[in-house]
Amino acid sequence: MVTSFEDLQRRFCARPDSDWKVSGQKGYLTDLIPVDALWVEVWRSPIPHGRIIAIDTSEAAKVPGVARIATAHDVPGLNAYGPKVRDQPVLCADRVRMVGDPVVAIAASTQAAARLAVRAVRVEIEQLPIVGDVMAALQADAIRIHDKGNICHERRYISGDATDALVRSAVCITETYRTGRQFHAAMETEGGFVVPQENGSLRVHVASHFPHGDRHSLAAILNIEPDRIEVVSSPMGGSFGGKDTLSVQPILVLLAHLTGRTVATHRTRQESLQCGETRHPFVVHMTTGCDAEGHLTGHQVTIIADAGAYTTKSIDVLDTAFENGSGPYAFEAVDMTGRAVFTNNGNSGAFRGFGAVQVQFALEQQIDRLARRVGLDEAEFRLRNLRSLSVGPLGQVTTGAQHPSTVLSVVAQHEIWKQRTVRSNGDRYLRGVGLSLITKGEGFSKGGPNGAALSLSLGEGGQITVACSAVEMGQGAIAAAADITAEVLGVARCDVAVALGSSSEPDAGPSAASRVTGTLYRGIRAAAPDLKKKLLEMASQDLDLKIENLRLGPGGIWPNRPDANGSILSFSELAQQKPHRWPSIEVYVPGVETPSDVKGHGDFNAASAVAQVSIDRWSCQVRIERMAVAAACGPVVSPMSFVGQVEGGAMMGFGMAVLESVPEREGRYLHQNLDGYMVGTIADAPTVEVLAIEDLEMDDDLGPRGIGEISINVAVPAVANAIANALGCAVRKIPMRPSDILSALRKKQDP
Amino acid sequence: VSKDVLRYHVASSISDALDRWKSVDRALFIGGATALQLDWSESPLSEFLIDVSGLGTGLPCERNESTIELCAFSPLERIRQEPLVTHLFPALAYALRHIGSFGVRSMGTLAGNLCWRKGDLRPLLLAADANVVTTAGPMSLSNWLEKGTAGDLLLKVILPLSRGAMIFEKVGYRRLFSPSCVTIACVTTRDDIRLAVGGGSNRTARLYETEAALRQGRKLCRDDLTALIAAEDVMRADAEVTALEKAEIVANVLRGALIQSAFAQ
Repeated sequence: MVTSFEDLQRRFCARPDSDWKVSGQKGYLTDLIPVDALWVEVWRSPIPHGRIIAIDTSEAAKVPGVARIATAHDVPGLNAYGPKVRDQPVLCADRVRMVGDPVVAIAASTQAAARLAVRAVRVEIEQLPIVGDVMAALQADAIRIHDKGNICHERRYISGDATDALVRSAVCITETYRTGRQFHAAMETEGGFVVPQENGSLRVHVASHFPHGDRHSLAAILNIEPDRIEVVSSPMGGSFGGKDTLSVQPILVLLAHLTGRTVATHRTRQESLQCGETRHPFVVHMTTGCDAEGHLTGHQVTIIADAGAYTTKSIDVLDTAFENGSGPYAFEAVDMTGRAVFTNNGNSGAFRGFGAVQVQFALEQQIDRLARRVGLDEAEFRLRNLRSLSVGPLGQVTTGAQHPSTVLSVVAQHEIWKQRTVRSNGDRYLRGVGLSLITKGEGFSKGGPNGAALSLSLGEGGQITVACSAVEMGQGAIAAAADITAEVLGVARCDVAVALGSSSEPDAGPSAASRVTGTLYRGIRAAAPDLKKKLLEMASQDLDLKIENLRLGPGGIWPNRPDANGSILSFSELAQQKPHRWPSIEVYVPGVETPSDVKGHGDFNAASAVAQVSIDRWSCQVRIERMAVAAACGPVVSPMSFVGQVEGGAMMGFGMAVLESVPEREGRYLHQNLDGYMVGTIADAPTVEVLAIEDLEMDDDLGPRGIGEISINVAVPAVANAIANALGCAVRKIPMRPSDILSALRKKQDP
Repeated sequence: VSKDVLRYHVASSISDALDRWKSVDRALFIGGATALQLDWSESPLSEFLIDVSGLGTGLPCERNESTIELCAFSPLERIRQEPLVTHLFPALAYALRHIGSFGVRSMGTLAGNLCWRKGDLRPLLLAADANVVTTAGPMSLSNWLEKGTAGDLLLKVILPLSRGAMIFEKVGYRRLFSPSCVTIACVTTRDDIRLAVGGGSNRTARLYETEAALRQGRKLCRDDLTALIAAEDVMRADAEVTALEKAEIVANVLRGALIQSAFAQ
């Protein structure tokens, strides 16, 4: 059953945290920087690759207001960090590998003093050859960016004999696809502050996705125990993956440790682009075949990802790309090779869509091209080739909960697809409609961390409090936690308080991989029965009534009668009467993992989209006019957030496919700010019709699946396929910038 | 120039503004300061800013027998909403819709846009054969831009009421609030054509050779027109599009628009 956009709208409920955000009041961590904090600025490498010969900070030290200057020698512990491989220096000691690499950090009484001091720093760097291209990085004689070489991570997957299957195919398409570098452009750039505590510990107020994980990395840098660091990382003003890994935290904790004072910083937009992480540019080479009836045969894939200077999330990004290389389709044989490669092109990291979206763009182009070659409708071709639901793309056993045929059928019946127009050759505008189908793994792949801890308690003020380290980053985690708790306990939303984003709360694991709503749902449902029981026991004693005569309701404890119309004991009264016995239930819910011995996901969800674009043959601008997205992600917990995620994902997907690109030359980004880097505005936004398939299998107790990323995963290939249909030729690279459109149009008839 | 030591003076009169400008090196007149913000990160700034935004006293727009006069100190949005402009010079109102955002247009002034090397109104008003009144006297916009605008205050822009068809196309990188890839303006009458381009990284200039070719009625295929435009050496590459590609885009716009207007006639 399909939940229509109108049905979702009828269930809209404003988020509890919307007032201060919409009214522009201060609330993000960078808004809360104490006025007496020392300000930290950093001397960064102006060149992409070089050897540090000398560092002279003597003039900087003379600048009035300078409190402390730090170089690599001042790092008391490990001068490196990274989520899986710790290869990114806090401060570079002997080598710089990207423009923006930090070399000297200065804490001063004011931002102006810190900036003046940074300008007085002198660093002599011997330039080294720049590795500005993944292919050049793989050459045998290429300079090694790291001691281990230029291959950051590589994988291989073989199932059957793909070469033989392709030889036997009636049709084969061989193509190389390229994807660009996308910038997160979150509203709030990276920043925050670190406060030394009286007991010698540090409290870190910087947005991140994984408060508990950050503690370990930061403790290693300072050579202290992790429990001497507390991380507060919520709420943040957007991330899209850009704050998934550590950014300003290592230098801030170092200077807080060295000075014993509160230190703060906040990156400018230029710093955020130059020093932060971006989406991995991919080169994807695919040869895909099918027989004359349109059944897929062999599929050979080579993926090369530009990891940039350091590992950060490249291992996981490549793994995810790998798992999505064959999509939801059944091939006779698959042969995939993948490499993430070090270059001096900045740093690539986590980004919504996370490696999958790059290969999904390429694969969905291949599928459309094959369908046309064998004369089948693109939707019919896809339906004909769906893999068994209980088998994952790497052959692993899955829950089988995905609904690819359902979402595809919904979209194939949508008017945008059914009424798609023939391309116009006479008018100024070319029009095209494209369709896509994708699946996405829920949470992290095998090995996780997929589990999550959470507590549900009666708070001091009488509010039922959900607490865990999951982070509110604009995705609606607070709303989801409040809504789920209210529904499960049968109380009002205003009875619920939500405490998220601190390492002092139970460890919910990383707030990434679209897993937050699902883990909240499972955690709250696991904790709720025990809390309910304890609350009723308390009330029973207070009211001298039997438990079975009581129930929870909006505002407090209600008589367990159908005609009851109000509470007989409010939650605040309950809390006041039992000040030392506030019940708290902490649970740990394991994640879903495949039982197979495969580095892959155990549960998948599906989405399909149709997009209509127009291309201006004069100006070479692409406009997305309409879009419909059907997503099968289980029950919709917060319809407003759900719709917002799909609309936002569609817009970000359009950005990735058309607008957003950071061109680079010799390791330098050619855009420095949002005046050159084009994020779509509301004028670019299409009408997006959001359709939800909320049904789950009878035995499915996992509840809602993530919607945060699947929306961009499905949007990019739909837009790219629409552009291809408008132009009448394959889209071999995204974003399709004006130069690319011009080149494609040039090959068409003279207008 | 260090951006931490900027000095700022609010001019009390035109003569005060000019005197201040002469008294220091590297002074800069600012109106709404919106262009200043855009250039902040990429070019050396003047260390002395002279705010002339309060010097406009007249109406934003007045009609004479065969012209309309625009007060150069007027905010762009105010001009866009002027009934005289929307009725008598709709191409200008249309062009203004594609410049900045409402907020930027409410601060940025006509003079600021024309004095800014990337100003999108430059090609439109060049093609419209506009004249200007500056503190150096009246002259054609073309002459004023050619001699250089530094040190003069732009007071008025005088637009002849057009008897031809106007084409304005700002080719940006997204639908609105976009930097220009190239901005194209063209005025055609029964026996004449005036064509100007600019915006973004390009020079602002009339394309005289291309005008001549079109005036002669030469049948130009897209490649010939592209080559002609490219040879005028006005287009400049930016991070995304080469100069030759920009010439090709101009050729596409011109061919499309001229064919369309020919059909309309």
